[in-house]
Amino acid sequence: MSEVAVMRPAPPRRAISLMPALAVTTSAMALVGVVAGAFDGFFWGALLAAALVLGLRMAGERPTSLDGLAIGSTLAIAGWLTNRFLLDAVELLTPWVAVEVAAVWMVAGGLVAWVVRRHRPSSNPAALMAMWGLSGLAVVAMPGVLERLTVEDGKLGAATFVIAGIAIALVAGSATLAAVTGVRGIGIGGAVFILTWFAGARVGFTLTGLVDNFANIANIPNFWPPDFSWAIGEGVWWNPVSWDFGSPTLANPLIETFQIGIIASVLGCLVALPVAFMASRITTPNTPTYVANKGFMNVIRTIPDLFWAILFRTGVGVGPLAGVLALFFFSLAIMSKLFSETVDSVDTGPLEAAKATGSTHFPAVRSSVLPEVLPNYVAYALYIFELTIRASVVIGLVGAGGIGRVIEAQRGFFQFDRVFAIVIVMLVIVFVIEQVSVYFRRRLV
Amino acid sequence: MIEFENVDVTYPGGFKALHDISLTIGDGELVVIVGLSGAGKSTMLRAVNGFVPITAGSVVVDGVHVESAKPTELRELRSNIGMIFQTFNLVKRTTVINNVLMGRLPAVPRWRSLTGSWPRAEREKALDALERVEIVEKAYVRASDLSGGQQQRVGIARALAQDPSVILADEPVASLDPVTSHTVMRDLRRINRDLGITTLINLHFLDLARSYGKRLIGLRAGELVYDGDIADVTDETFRDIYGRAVTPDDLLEGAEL
Repeated sequence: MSEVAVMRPAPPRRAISLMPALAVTTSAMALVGVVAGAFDGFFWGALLAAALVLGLRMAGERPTSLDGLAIGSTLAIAGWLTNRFLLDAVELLTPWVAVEVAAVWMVAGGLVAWVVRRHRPSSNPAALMAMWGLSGLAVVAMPGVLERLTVEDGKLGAATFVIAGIAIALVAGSATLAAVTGVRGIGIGGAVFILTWFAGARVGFTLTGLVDNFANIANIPNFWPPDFSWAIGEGVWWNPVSWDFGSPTLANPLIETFQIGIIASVLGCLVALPVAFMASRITTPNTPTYVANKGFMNVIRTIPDLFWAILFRTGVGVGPLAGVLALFFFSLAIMSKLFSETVDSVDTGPLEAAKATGSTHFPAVRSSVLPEVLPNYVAYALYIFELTIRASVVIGLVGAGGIGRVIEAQRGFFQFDRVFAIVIVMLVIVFVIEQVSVYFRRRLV
Repeated sequence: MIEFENVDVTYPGGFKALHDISLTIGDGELVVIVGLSGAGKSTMLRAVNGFVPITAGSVVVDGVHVESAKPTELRELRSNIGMIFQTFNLVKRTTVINNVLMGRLPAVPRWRSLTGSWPRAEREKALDALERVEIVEKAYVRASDLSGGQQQRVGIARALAQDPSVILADEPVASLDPVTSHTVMRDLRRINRDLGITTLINLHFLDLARSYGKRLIGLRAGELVYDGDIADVTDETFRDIYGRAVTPDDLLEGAEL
């Protein structure tokens, strides 16, 4: 019997090997944009095909010229069809157009998959098809592209082609690479990219828009220099005998903010303790209790803090009580969620030991699970306090007391120098609280 | 007295862990249960305190039917049965004495156990238990700061604090080194002799079983294949239990074979 040598496993293919192909596609797209802006989608497809063939070669495949021709013609047709759909689309992306485009690209993807499969039987044609379909969708959803295409003269600028080129190259490249190498992470990365892009396109998010709008901050009247003398006030700041605060402008609302934050986070964390224990599979006494608490947690977590504030402002009137109630539910929602997940991950051995002594449920949980999760609990509580201080500024804007109300009032008077001063003061305070809380949390867990 | 009568345990997945087990363990006996992993040793121990529900037959502990006991009866029963675990199952982020006091949970009112305000008498009992395993000086040390052997002794003290009539030890030395294994086994034997507590110990080391056991129960694939005095046990018996010859892996001090 001859001895069989143990083969060393080959190192996995690196995603980087397709990068030159992506660069070629992108620059080629730009070239099309500059030289032949008037040409239709035929070029898109042809270029894509060229990049794909190049990519396959770089990934170690050897597509024949017949393969190249098949890929090229299919993609050219697909690109041309897509372009037609895009040009015909009067409104922004209807579902039907998206489906049609995706279908065309899936056919194209299927062909590519078939070619790839001939060279590498292990690759997954279905995944490849799906990825190509998605990439077709991504092209349709691309911000700006659709808009520009519906412009009367129908010509596309070089910049648009660059963006389109990057997008197509990335999604198609990642899909191909995922299928060819079998490294699924690339495909997942591509899918995340497409989803992000798609979401951005739907809400009309563009980087230029962001920059333009951000520059509008300069138009806010007289916000500079910040009016610290107003914020800090004059005369005696604090009388330690009578506990009076001399500067009502900022000190008192700030203290109110703290008070709201402390009351809300302490009460919220206290109530969250039993709720979290009963909403964890490990420590719940029975299934109905588990379902009830889990449901309660989910319901209060669904309602955002600002909505709680509006709710209680209507319910109990404008003022700090509304803020306390709103932030109580806010901190209860977050704390119970965080803490019940910590309880979920606790070692069940000590609880079993406590049950083995014949203890009833809650004393057993108290003595075996609570000590293990208590440091996490305190750490979360500090974090919740941090959150409530920040959130109390926001909910103050809708009239729930605290510093937020002062910000809202000064903004109403167009006193932006004062608003700016408050923002800076808050920035410093929140930063300090955060540092202190981080310090203690690090020591605890 | 622990009586098994035609006990079957079938797990929800359909796995038959115990099949037709019948035996009686008298008060104050020290019984060692051996068998390969998966033979049903753990299941057998857990059937005694009702952690594993039996699917047929009956388990009677001190006159109480475990399989039909109501929750309160079961808790009452468990308070008389101490349990010792392979992985110690200590609460690591609290002190040794708090761990031992867990054994006193059923003895105090709920408000006391929930607030952790233990009466002096209970604390004394916990310290007594720690003295018995010679680790009382560590009473106020965090459990996580102890070595493995020390942690297992705390586990034993927790069981002792219950004032139990039965102790179930589930592979008590499987995570310990040979020297501490002997210490822990000696502790268990001493407790059995001095206090007359019925003791059931799961072991997979044959030499440990031989040196510390009195009566040996052998399980193989959920069936009882040996039950008798440990003095009568031969290598043939172990071959029966294990379904193969004894190897050095089956001994704590493998080199001695």
